[in-house]
Amino acid sequence: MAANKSARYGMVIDLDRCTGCGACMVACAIENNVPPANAKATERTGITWMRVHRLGNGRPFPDSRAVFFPILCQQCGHHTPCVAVCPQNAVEVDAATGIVDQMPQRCLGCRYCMAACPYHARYFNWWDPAWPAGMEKTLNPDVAPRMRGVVEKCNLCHGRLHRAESKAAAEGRRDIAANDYVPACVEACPAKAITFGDLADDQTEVAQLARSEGAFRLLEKLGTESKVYYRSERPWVHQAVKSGIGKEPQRG
Amino acid sequence: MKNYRGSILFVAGFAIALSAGWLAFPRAEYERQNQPIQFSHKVHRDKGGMKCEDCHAIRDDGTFSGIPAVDKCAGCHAAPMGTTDEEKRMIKRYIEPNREIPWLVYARQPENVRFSHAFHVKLAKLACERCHQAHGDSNSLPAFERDRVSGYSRDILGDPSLANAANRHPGMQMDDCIRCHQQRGVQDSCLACHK
Amino acid sequence: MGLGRRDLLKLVGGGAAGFFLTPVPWRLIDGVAIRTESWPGVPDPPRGEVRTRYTTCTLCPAACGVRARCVVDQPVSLAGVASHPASAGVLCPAGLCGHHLPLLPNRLRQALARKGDNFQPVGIDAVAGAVATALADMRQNGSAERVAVLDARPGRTASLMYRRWLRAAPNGTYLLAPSAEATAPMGIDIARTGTVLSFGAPVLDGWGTPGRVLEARKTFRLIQVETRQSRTALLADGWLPIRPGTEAALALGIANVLIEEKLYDAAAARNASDFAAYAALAAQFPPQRAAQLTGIPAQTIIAAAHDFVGHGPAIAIAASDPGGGPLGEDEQIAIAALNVLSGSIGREGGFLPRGEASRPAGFEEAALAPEQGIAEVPDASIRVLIIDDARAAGTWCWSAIERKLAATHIVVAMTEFLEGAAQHADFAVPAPAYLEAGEDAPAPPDVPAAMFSLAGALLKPPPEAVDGAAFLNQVAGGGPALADVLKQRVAAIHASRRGEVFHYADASRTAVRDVKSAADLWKALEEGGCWIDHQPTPHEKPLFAILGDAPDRVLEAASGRLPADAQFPLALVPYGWRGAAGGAISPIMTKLYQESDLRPGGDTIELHPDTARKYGVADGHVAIVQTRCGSCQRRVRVDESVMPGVIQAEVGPSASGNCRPEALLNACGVAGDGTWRLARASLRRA
Repeated sequence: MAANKSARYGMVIDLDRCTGCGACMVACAIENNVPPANAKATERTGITWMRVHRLGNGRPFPDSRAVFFPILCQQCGHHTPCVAVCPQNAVEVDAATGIVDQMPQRCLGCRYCMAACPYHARYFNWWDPAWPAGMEKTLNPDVAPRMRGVVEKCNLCHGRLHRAESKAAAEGRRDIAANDYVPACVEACPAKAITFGDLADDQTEVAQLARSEGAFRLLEKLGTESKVYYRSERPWVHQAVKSGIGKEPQRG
Repeated sequence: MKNYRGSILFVAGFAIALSAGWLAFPRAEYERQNQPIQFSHKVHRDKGGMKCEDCHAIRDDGTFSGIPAVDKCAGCHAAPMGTTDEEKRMIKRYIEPNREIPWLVYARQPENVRFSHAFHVKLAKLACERCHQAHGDSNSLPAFERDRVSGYSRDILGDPSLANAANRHPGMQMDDCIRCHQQRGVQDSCLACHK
Repeated sequence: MGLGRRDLLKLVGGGAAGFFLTPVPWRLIDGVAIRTESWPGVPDPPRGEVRTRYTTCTLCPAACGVRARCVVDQPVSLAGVASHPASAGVLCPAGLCGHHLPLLPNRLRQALARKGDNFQPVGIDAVAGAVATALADMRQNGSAERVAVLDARPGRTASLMYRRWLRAAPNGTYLLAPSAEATAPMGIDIARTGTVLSFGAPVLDGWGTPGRVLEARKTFRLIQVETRQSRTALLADGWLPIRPGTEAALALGIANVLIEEKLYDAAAARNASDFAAYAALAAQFPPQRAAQLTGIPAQTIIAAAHDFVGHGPAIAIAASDPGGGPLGEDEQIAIAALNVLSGSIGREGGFLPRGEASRPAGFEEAALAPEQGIAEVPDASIRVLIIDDARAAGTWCWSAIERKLAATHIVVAMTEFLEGAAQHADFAVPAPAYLEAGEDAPAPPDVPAAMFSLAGALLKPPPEAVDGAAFLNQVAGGGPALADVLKQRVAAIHASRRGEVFHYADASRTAVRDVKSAADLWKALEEGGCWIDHQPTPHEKPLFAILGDAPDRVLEAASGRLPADAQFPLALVPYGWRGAAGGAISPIMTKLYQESDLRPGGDTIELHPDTARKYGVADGHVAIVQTRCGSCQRRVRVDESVMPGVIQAEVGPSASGNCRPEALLNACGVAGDGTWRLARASLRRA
C-alpha cells in the first residue's frame, strides 16, 4: 500500500556544509522517541540513530583539519548485512521504498545485526526507555517507544512516511507528495547539508547530487549498494575516508 | 459395570474440561467495565439529526478523529438538552470542568500498531462495519471487556466462545489484518502497519 | 463408593484431554505473548488531534520563528519557520528540544525563601512584602543604597518596564547581565557581505541569527582568527591559529599592511578624527612584529590583509562563544577599526544602523533608568537585587555580583529552575518557562532592521508562576500588566505604519499600512508572526574617533594580554556553545556530549599530545588545572588539533553532571564586570 511503488529513498550529505552542531541528532531523538541517556550510558551504549562523528586528517596542529561525518543507517540495498544475519526475520528491505525496516517487536536482542553492520548504525536498548516524569507527554504519537533488550536503528523517519501516506490517502491519492516526506534530520539541519529524496527518480535533486563529482558512499567495495551518499570537494576527506575506515573516528 | 467406571470418569473429566474451556472460560477471561457515561448512537442520529461523520471523521491530514473530544460534546450539551440523569451527570462531571471523558475504546490497537483509516476508507473503500460492526442503531454502549491475560479488548481479540458462534466477530488482531490483505492481494512490509 | 487414586487419575486424564480441545491453552499462550509487548517500562505516547501552532524562540537573542507540532495542546516537536526573515527555517539543537524545558524535574513551581543553606516554600506575597518593606525603609531613611534589576535578556518590552519602574524606585539601577549578548545599535547586512574576518566569533556555530548567517555562507568568504580549531575554524576559508590574547596585535598588523599598501577606504578614513593617531599606532605593528606576537607567519598576515579587502564588502567582527568570555574592550576597538579601513560601516553588506520597534507613550528614553554594566556600580551598594531571569545564569560568576551587594540585602531571582544565580538568592520566585510566557522577542543583535516578534504562550504556566512585571506590580501595589504594555507597543507599531508583518503559517507578508487595526496586528503577531522594518534608518556619517580616549590601552592590549609566567606556563582557553553553556537544557542533549563524542563535555580539558606528555598526563587521566585565581579538576582528552601550550576547557553540560562551570570560570579570573577570559595556568595529574 506504500506509495511510489519502486522508490529508493536516500540522501546526500554535503560534508563541506556540516558544522557538527548536532541539530540532526536532537531532532532525530525527538522525532523517534529515543529516550535521553541513562545515567550509566556512554558513547558505546547510548542510542543515536543519527550520530555525527569527527574525522581528523591525522596531522598535528596547525595542519590538523577535521570533517564532521553524520552516520546513520546507510539503507543497504544489496546483501543487506543485518537482514542476512537476523534469526528472527525482524529486519527486511521494504520493496516499495528501499528502506531497511527494523521490527523491534520481533527482535530477540541477539545483536547479530549489530555485529554484522559495517557502519555501526544499530543500537541496543540496554535500559528501559525512560523520560523524566511528566515528559512522556512530549512523545511523538506516530512512533512507538521500544522496550529494553531490543535493537533499533534509523528507518528514515517511518512515522513521517506514514503521515505523508495518510495525508495523501485523505486526498484520495496513493502517491505521496515529495515535500510531505522529509526525515527529521533533513528538516532540522541548519546548514541544509542533507538532501533527501527518491534516488530511483533521475529528476530529483538527490539523484543528481548522488551522481555528481565528489559524491561517494562508505565502504563502497562491500557492494552493499547503500542509499546514503556523502559529498565533499576536499581531497583529503576522500583520502581519509578511504584510509580511515577501521580506525575509531577522532572525537571532537 | 465396574469395567465402565474408568471410562465414565474419563469422559466426565473430558466433558467438564470442555464445558469449562468453551463456556466458562470465555466469561471468566474478560473483566467487564462500564463506560464512564452511557451514550445512545440512535438518539444522536434520529433526534439529534447527526451523521456518523460529524464525530468520526478523517481529518485533512489523514488522521482519524476517533471518539470526539469533550469540547465537541459541549458544543450542544453546554446545558441539558434532554431530561435524562445520564446527561446531567455528563455535564456536571465532564463538560463543566472541561475534563475529557475517559472512554474505554473498544477498538484501541496497541501502541506499536499504525492503522490508517484514510487508506482503508478513502482508498480501499471499505465500509466501517467491516471491522467495527454496525452500531448506529444501538441505544446503549455495551460493557467494555478486557482480556485478563493480554489486556486487550474483546473487539480486538475476536470471540472464540460457542455462545456467540452465530454472529462471531472476526476480531482485529494481526492475523485478521493479514487474512484480509491476502485476500485482496495487498503486499506490505512490517513497518507499513507497525510504528 | 469412594473415589480411588486410579479414578482420580482417570478423571484428571479426561480433563487434560478435554483441556487441549478448548481454546484455553491457545488463548493463554497468545495472551501471555501479547502481554509481553506491553512492557511496563515503556511509556505510551499521548493520543489526540495533531495541531500546528507558532511562536518565537526566546532561549537566546536570535529570536527564531518556531513551528510547534502539538498533540491537542502539548508541543511534541519544534521546528523552524521556513523563509523567516531572520532565522530562515532554522533552530539550533537547544531550540529543537525547548519544549522539554517546562517539564524538567527541577522546575520551580513555588516561591522559595532561603533558610540557612536550604530553601523553604513561601508565598509570593511574602516575597513581594519583603521587597516592599526594604524599599519603604530605603525611602524613609533616604538611603544611598540601590535597588537594582539584573536583566539577563535585555531589549524586551519587560526590560522597558523594569527601567521605568526603577526610575521611580530609590536609586533604581538597571543592570545588564555580564554575559548577555549585547543589543547592538548596528546590524550586519550579512546577505551582501563579501568577506568576514572573525576574531573568535562562532560564526557558524551559534552566532547572531544562525539561519540567516548559514544561508549567507554560500556567498561570503570567512577568515577565522581563533586559537582553538573550532567548528567555525574548520569550515572557514582560512584559519589563523592565533596565540591566545594577541588579537589586537593581529588587528593592528593587518591595519599596518592595509595602510602601508594604501588598500583602505580613504573616504571612510576621512570621517575618523584621529586617523593619523591610529595610523601611527598601526605603524608600530609591521607584519614581522605582529607575527612575533601572534605566532602567525608574517606572510600569512599580509595575505590575510589582502584577502580581507580583496573581496568586499568586508567586515571584521570581534566576539567570542558563550563560554569564552568577551574580548576586552581595547581589543574590540583595534578590531572594529578594521571596519573603518574596509569602509564597511554604514554600507550595504557591512554594518547598518537600525531603529527599534516603536515604544508606547511613557517609555521614552528619558523616562527610563539608563542601562548600566555591573562594573559601573560601586561595591556594596545594592540593597535590593531582582534577577530576571536566572535561566541564562549558569555562566554568571556570582562573585562579581556578590561584591555589589550591601551588608543587608535581598536578592530575588525570577527563575524557572533553582540553578545558577538563583541558588545564591534569598528568594526564588517561579517564572513562566519558555513556551509558557506571553512575551516579546526583541530584534536579534545582528539583524540590520528593526524587528519585533511575539512569543505567544503555547502552554499554561504553573499556577504560582509570575512574570517580572507582575511581581514588580505586586511590590509597588499596582501597575500595568506586561500583556497590556505589549498591546500598547503593537498599537504604536501599527500607528507608525512602517515595515511589514511576516506570517509564520504561510510565509506571506503584509505591509503594516494594509493591516486594518492594531487588534488585527496583535492577532497576526500572536498567532505567529514578526514585524520587520524594511525602510532604511536614516543616518549621517558623523566625525568619530577610532581609538577614543584609549590609544595607550589599545597599544597595551596589542602588546599581548597573557605575559609569560614561569609558574603558570600554559594558557587556559575556556569555550562553550550557545544554548548549553550554562542554564537548564533538555536531557535529550545528552545525545551530543554523553551518548556521542560530538561535544567533549564540561568535565574535560583538551591538550595537544606534546603538552600532555610534557606534564605527565594522558588521555583519560584526571588533571588539576591551577591558575592564580583558582583551580578545577577535569578529565584529559588528547587531541592533535589543539595548539601546543594551550588547555582547552569546555563550559557546558557533562555526563557526570557534577561539573559546574563556576570553578573553571573563577579559575579564569572574573573581572569586575563579571566577565572572564583567558588565564595563565599550570597542569598536573590529580
